[in-house]
Amino acid sequence: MTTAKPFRGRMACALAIVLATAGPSAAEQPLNVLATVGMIADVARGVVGDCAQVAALLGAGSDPHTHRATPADVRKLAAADLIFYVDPALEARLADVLAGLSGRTSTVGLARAAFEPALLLEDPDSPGTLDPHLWMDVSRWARIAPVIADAVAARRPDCAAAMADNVAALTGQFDALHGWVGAAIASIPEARRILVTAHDAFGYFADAYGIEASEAIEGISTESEASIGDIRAVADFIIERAVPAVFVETTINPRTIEALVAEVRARGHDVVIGGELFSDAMGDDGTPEGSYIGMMRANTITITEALGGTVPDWPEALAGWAVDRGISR
Amino acid sequence: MDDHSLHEPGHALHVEDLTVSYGGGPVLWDIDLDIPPGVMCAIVGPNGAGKSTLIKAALGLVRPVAGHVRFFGRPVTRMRGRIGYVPQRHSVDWDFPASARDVVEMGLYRSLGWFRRPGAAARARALAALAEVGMQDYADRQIAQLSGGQQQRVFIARALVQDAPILILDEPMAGVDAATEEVIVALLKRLRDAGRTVIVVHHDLTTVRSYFDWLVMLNVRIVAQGPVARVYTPENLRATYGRQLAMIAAAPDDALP
Amino acid sequence: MSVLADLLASHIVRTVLAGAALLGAIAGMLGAFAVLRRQSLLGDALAHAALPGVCLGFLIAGGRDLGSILAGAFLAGALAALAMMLITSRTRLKTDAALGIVLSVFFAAGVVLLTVAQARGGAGSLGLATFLFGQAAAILRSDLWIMGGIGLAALALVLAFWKEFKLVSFDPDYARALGLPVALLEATLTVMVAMAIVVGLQLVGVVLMVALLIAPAAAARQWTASLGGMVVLSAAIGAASGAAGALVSASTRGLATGPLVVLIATAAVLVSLMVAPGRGLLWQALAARRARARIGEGRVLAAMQGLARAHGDTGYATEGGMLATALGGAPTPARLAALERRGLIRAVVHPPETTPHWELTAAGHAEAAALADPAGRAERSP
Repeated sequence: MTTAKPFRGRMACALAIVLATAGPSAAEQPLNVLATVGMIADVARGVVGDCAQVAALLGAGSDPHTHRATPADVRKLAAADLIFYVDPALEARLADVLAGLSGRTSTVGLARAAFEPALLLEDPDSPGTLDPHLWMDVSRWARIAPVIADAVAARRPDCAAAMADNVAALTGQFDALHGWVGAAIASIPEARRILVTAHDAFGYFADAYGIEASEAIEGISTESEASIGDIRAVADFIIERAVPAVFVETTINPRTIEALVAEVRARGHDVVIGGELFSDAMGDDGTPEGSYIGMMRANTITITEALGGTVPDWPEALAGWAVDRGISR
Repeated sequence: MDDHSLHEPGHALHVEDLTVSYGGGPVLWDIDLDIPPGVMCAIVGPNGAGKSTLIKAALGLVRPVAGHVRFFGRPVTRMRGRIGYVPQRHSVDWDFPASARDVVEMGLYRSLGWFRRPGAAARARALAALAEVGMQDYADRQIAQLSGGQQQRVFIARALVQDAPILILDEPMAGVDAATEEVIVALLKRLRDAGRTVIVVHHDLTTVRSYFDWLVMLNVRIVAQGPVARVYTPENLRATYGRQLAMIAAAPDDALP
Repeated sequence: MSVLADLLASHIVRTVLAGAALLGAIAGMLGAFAVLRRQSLLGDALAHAALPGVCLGFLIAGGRDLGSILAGAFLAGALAALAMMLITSRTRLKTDAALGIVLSVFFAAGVVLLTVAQARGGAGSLGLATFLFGQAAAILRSDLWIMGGIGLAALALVLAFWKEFKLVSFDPDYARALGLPVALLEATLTVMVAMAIVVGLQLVGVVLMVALLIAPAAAARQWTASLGGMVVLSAAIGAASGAAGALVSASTRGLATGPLVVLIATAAVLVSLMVAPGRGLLWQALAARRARARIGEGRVLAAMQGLARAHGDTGYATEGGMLATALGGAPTPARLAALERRGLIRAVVHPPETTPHWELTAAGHAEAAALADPAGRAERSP
């Protein structure tokens, strides 16, 4: 009898070792999914669950318009099994790298993959160029979930069923969010329903929620320097339309907005900085604003309160989300 | 080292153990030099002998690795303004927006003190100095428009205006026409006769005996020094300029301290 | 004009104009000394070296505190200046090599810090890249106070130590021999240049700042004969370039102010190089042309006089073809016309030949004789 125990012990050890080193077979390993911006990554995590590991290339405060690929970025991109990005109109400096990788890695440009042309808006300053800030309309952004699920399912067919459930759940959440945002904006008095920001990131927001996104100081991309003429034009607009508040963004130099406010005030009108908006990046990781829902929630509250509207109650469908993050309704 | 008692006050210039090196071999080695007051002294030697370096080290523009220098017994820091220095003409970019008078007035900047501008008195002194070198008609001329000889005379006038007991000139006759050279030599002799000490780094051996009464022959080391008649000999010339006494190579015969 | 009045009525235009003019004046004044000391590129090195200082100021103190950013820029510039001094004094490298090394190393460090800050994200990275090329439109009134303060300090120093700066810029060796604290004075000048750069970083950025130091001074040099005149004119040209750049960029949308200011200042240099009396290229070309014309005319006169003497006839009518042969090529009609205008030759008819002929007037004979005897002429002239 004494010899059997050690034998079983040894077998158990060996089995454990084999299992530990072999790990799950290749077909069952989590897919390495890389998204450029956090807005994609957050949604993708909700879709794929355990089926894939999702990471974001750009963090909070990083401007996708101007971000150049560092060698570390290129390594991450090269190691990924599946890459999601929005459109070269957004990740302008990464376009070359992504094009180069598209031969051997699956890269999905969500703007073209998830949206019919009819749903896409143009850059107001240069017709023919796409406005890539699609995440600003929750109902539009919800469409990327099934596209992400399909792309992952192509590699991990076993996950398809679980992901379908996730997509359905997410869609429910996004519907609720979309309605809530619409209600919040609608509560703003009509004369004051104007959004003045540092750059033209809110076209889809305006289109979806019935607010006017005025001409911003910088255009669609932040690559160009704000000129005096630009600031004066926006100041003219603010005075003409009696806009009560303007908004800074987390990825733009706030001094540009401060210069705008100074110009408006010097001409005898009052305007305040209504708050900071998340435009091209979400908030810091770990904060509620570091998620897509949290980002839209924060933006909506900031805009609504600054322009004199009333923020409606947080929808039931998202109650769980709020509790998870320690937010009281 | 910087004692305030006078050390060798009888000599206009007293140099002891002076050694200057720019990181490689020595440019000046163990210089012992005594120049009496009231002479017109020439410092001669081949190219690379260290003549300009000797001047600059004496004036504190270059740091020696050993040795000390005294002017009338005082270190140079206590003789500032009382030594009229005329640097080499090409050490300066003459395309500077200034007139001849402006440059000469620079010699008075120290005596004017901080925060004062040259006034009428200073301008008059500058004009007088220009007259001494024969340049009074060019007082308002841009220095860029002056000829080489005229620029040299402006430099000398700048040193003159300091009214200093010692004048040190670095190759004042180089690249200058014969007429200017005559003017300069006559002026220097006048100054010597008036009791000042004039020390000149001189490049032209043929005129040493007619211009100067004291001679220093230098080639990294002092070869000879003393009254011109005694020192200007064929042996000394060979020793200074001959090939066998090239610059001291890696192994000087005295042990380094 | 109403466009101008309209522009000037705008608060932001006035702010940027004041800032740009102030910067232009300061950079022009201090740049004059840098150019004369042949240290123009020192300004370039200091400006590029400021980038890591800006980034560190940003990272440490947060993006909104201009004071800490400028302090960081200033300290980095001072460090760079010190590094250059050490390199030139301790090694065998000359100023230009030391400058190139320090500029590259500091700027590269700055770019690395820039990407680190941007990758890290968060509020610390906002607007850093604007320091590369400036963002003049974001100048605030509060910034003007800092700039004005620095400008006044620089002006006070320049006025107080005017003659010392003049001598140190012209002949540092003589200054040292005279007992002036040359190292301290040169350090002061360098520090002032660093201050000017710090002022200019927001407006024109690191890359273009050197142009503002060099261009107004280079332009002013062409017009004046005194240091005072050059410094004042350089400040004026700098201020005018700044103001003009601000106004032009404000008149339409999408024009960056900083680069425009630099373009205008550079245009001022080009114009000055061409047109300044005495030194300008155009003047020199004109003077050369005049000299060539005189020589050409002299040859015509000499040839005609030679022929007249050979024929023993002061009224000898020279045929055009003979003149061409004597001179190795026909004189241009313009040249003959000029000689005629000066009363030195006249056209005559010499029948039976029908080709043009010319003869010397009395004045022409005298002129030709004088040209042949320059020594005699020198005695005659006062």
